Amino acid sequence: MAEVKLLGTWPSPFSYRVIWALKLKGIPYEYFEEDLSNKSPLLLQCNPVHKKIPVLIHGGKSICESIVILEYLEETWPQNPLMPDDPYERALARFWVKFVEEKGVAVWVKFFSSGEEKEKAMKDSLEMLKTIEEHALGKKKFFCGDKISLVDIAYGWMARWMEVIEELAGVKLFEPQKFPRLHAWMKDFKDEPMIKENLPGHDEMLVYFKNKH
Amino acid sequence: MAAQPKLLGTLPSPFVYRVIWALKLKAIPYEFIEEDLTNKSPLLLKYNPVHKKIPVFLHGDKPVCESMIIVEYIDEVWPQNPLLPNDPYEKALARFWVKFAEDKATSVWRMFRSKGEELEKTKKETQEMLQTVEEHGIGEKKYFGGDSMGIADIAFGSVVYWLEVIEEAVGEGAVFEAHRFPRLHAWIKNFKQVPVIKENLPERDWMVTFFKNRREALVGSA
Repeated sequence: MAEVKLLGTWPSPFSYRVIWALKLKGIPYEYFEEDLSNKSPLLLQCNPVHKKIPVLIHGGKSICESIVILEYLEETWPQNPLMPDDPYERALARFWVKFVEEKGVAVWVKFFSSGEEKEKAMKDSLEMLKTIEEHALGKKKFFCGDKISLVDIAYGWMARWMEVIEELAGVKLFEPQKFPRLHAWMKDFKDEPMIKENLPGHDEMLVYFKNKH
Repeated sequence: MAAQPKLLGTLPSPFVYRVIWALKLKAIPYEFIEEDLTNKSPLLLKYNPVHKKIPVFLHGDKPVCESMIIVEYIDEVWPQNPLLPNDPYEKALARFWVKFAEDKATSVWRMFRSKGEELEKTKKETQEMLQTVEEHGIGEKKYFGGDSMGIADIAFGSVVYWLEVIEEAVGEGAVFEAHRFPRLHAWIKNFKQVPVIKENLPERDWMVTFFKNRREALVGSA
């Protein structure tokens, strides 16, 4: 198999999505830390449209957008599957991935705003959490059943990044008694060996995001 | 499956047309159920409780929501006339451009709903989006999918054909200029000539009137 390279940045949950998938499938890869204030020629060449990380480079071909990369990994390395077999289950999985792409990750950035914008971000976040709690998980351990899937990976930013954001923004939304299923899911997700060994440090993240905002 | 699949939608929604095109390209018979979005049916609320939006595709008792997810589902269940390439890398490219269309094409609708400064801003955004696709997306290919149409053509087809109508309905200067976007102009011409697409495009003059009236109601007279 041709070699795999990953361009990423250490505090990025999008970067981690790819790392988790690579680790869960046992795919060896070489990691390159990007400096987004001084983007490498490789990054600019491989992602001319968005100039963003993560970028996966496989045998010289570059794939961009974390979820697109995950689906590519799933198709190219079918061991330890991250997607269900059944087309309907797959459609459901993609539905929930799209949901978090639109509602989750977009909202968190606004947490660092103030006043009306922050109020709205909090309201939108609560609604998003409620929808997931009510409709997405059901009685399952993970989003697609007993095993970790692409959907869990897409939601994985909640495992470390959400607590950091809440701490810095001085809000507490994700309360265990309000969101018991999600809390259980988060614990199970973080307990998975490959995830546990591949999470950025809480304190380092606090410092990083504090300085950024 | 015994019963015919059902498609809940409204016309002329570009999102609904994406699904119609996929179904027609694969010659899948289906029943169309027209929704009244000012008075959503119990069926719609039951099968799309999260977003309460159309299109919803009902296959047996199973609902699939979100237009491009429906298109992928249809492609997986009915593999004739495939809409996604076999090769994983080519698939990834197709998915990249579908995502781009989903993320960036909202500017067209924001343009439709705005006036004055906001209109100028969204026009510019739309042109930037088109520029990127012109430069990086379509390239020298006949279709996004290469020699034959694919999922990215469906995604962009619904954006560009509706953009052509909306820029006329808004009537504040051209956005999708032929001299600026020659590749995209060649592509949309090819797209509209694909027999299945040609037979399943809402009529242009009717659409312009429809959207002119809608715009009048939304933003008032200029």
